[in-house]
Amino acid sequence: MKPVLPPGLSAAQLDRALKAFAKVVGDEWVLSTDLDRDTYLDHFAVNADAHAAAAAVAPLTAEQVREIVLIANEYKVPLWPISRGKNFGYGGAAPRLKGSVVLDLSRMKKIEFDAENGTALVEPGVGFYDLYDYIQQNKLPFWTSVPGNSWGSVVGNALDRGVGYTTYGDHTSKICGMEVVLPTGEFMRTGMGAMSGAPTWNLYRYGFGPAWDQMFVQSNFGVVTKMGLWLMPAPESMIGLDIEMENADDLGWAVDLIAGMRRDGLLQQAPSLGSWLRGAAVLTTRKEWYDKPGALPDDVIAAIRKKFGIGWWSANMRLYGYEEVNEAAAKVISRAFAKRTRQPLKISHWRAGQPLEPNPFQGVPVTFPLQNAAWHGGRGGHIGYSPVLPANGAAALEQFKRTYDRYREFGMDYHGSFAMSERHITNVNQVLFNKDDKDMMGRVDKFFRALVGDAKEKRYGEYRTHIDYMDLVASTYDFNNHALRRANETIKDALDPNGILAPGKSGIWPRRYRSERT
Amino acid sequence: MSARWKVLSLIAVLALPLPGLAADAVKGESYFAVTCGRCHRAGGMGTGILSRRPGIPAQGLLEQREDLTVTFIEAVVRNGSGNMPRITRAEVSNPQLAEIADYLARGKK
Ligand SMILES: Cc1cc2nc3c(=O)[nH]c(=O)nc-3n(C[C@H](O)[C@H](O)[C@H](O)COP(=O)(O)OP(=O)(O)OC[C@H]3O[C@@H](n4cnc5c(N)ncnc54)[C@H](O)[C@@H]3O)c2cc1C
Ligand code: HEC
Repeated sequence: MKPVLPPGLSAAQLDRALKAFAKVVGDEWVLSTDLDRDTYLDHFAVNADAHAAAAAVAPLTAEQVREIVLIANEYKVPLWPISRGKNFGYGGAAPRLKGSVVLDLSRMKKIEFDAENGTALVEPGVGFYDLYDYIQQNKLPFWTSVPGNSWGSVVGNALDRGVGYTTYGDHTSKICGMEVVLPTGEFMRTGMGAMSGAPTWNLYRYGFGPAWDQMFVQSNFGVVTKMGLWLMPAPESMIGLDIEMENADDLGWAVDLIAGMRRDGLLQQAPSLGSWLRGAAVLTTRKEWYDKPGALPDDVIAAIRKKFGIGWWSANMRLYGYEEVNEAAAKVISRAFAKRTRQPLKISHWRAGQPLEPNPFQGVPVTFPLQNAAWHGGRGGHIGYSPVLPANGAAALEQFKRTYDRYREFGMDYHGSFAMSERHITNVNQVLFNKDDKDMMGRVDKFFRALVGDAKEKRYGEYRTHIDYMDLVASTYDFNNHALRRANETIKDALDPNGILAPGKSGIWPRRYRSERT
Repeated sequence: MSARWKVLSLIAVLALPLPGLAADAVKGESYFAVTCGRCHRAGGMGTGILSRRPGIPAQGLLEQREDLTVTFIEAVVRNGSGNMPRITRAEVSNPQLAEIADYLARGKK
């Protein structure tokens, strides 16, 4: 045994806490061998050991969660809750604070489905595949919305403000009512759930007075044990409009065109304009094209694009709902594109009754996008750099150019996408690296900090970040001498006086560990 | 429809009996389907990466391979391998992993 401990806790104290956890969940579900501990490391991290867990505990019920939280308070053991812990690019299952005990909720898999209203009340361990299978087996007329990596959890993803690709793709906005164990071990329900037995818990979000669902999102203020979610009614028709754009500069006009359609409601789904590598990294490896270090030269990029028929940017728009309405909308969209470009829109039709494609556009879970880990050939990984921009073509183009230059400066291959919301763009960039390339790994940290610095200069903040960079990103939210952080930490200390829940999550540190801020 | 559907999803999946197979093989196969199959059946991440790795048989499909052993499978699942992340005991318990390994290795230790 090589003990991993959080600051200020002795091995004996940890051991006593683990024994107490075992009384609640059974010996089997306290995971504390060296091998167990390794299974919670972030497989895609730059430096996984920096976030090693002390152990994990895996309850089956919400009541067990509550008891574990009480014990953690008694022994002052920091807990890091995960739902399925597949948060690749942002930390996987690993805790922000080294030596935390992972509170692994993946065994909690209950689904309650309200087929009249199209809502599901799910526990944290329910994966996108579980919910999808459940809907298929019970022939329910609803679609799930899944992220590109669908191996994770419906609850965990929504709690990190994850996204999918249908009209219900802004997952955190589909949350309606939660059950939470507060850091002191008390159950609370949000929204209408605050009234016991209310039939409207998962139907009306706000309840009475302040509405707290978002308080438990990207925070460390509670452990979510149940989440209400709205699901998209299965559509009668889906129309796809895909365009492969030839030039890097096409980003500007395409953003402006799509931004208008998002704002006026013509397009209800958030298309993501992805650079060529998004497609290519899943289909091929770099070594097949180029064997030198440094960013890929333009002629190699052109050859890869030609082979797979990928534009410099690809945009995939989808319309869902009644066929006649979709047809009409598709016409308006096609006309608008034709006015702007001669590059063709590829139009496809799907109608109810036809089989679903294994594709997030139809809410069908997939894992193939994870193949991009193999882009460099060796043991791969990535971290996500995801600033939020105004939905404006000039701003997007400027941000793209700045980021592209940084990738080249650091000898990395650019992998960017611009997801179009009604009034903002989430600009997700994957920093794909090769863990077997020591030289490259030595550049990643400086590169990432340069990217965050560039965004900060333009006053753009990240929507989500890797556990390595939570303090860095939180520090960029600096209005009035970091008033938001100070307020968050006032709340943290009030709700979690012993500082046991996810210390450091989103840069929020409880008093006990505040000196750990980096 | 006004009934609320209450079913434990996984238990429902795993309880499905497949005709014509011995009880253990059914268990191994159904555990494989809901845990590994997401990546190791057609179109999954594991199949995609393995099919491109030189020297890997059966187009990367684990279920069609003859060369897998129980020891190898169990080591890969807990330690990860290349770009396959590790899988915890909370997600796939030791007894479940044993069933899966048995199903894939067909008796080869
Ligand atoms: C190639 C690739 C593509 C990807 N595509 C997408 C994509 O399209 N969209 C997208 O959103 N993401 C994407 N991701 C990122 C990520 O893999 C997914 O978001 C994934 O769903 C997150 O893992 P999870 O669902 O298991 O959540 P978890 O890891 O379980 O949870 C995420 C975080 O939320 C908090 N948390 C979780 N559960 C609880 C709880 N019950 N109570 C309190 N706090 C909790 C924890 O801090 C945890 O670290 C992608 C990653 C890769 C590598
Ligand atoms: C998230 C996707 C994913 C899941 C889930 C997954 N694997 Fe894998 N697996 C992979 C990938 C990717 C590889 C190839 C790794 C590489 O070589 O880079 C792989 C490789 C393997 C190999 C090694 C094959 C070889 O010849 O090297 C075995 C054995 C294996 N997986 C077994 C399993 C089993 C058993 C399960 C379920 C308990 C499982 N995997 C679940 C992605 C996955």
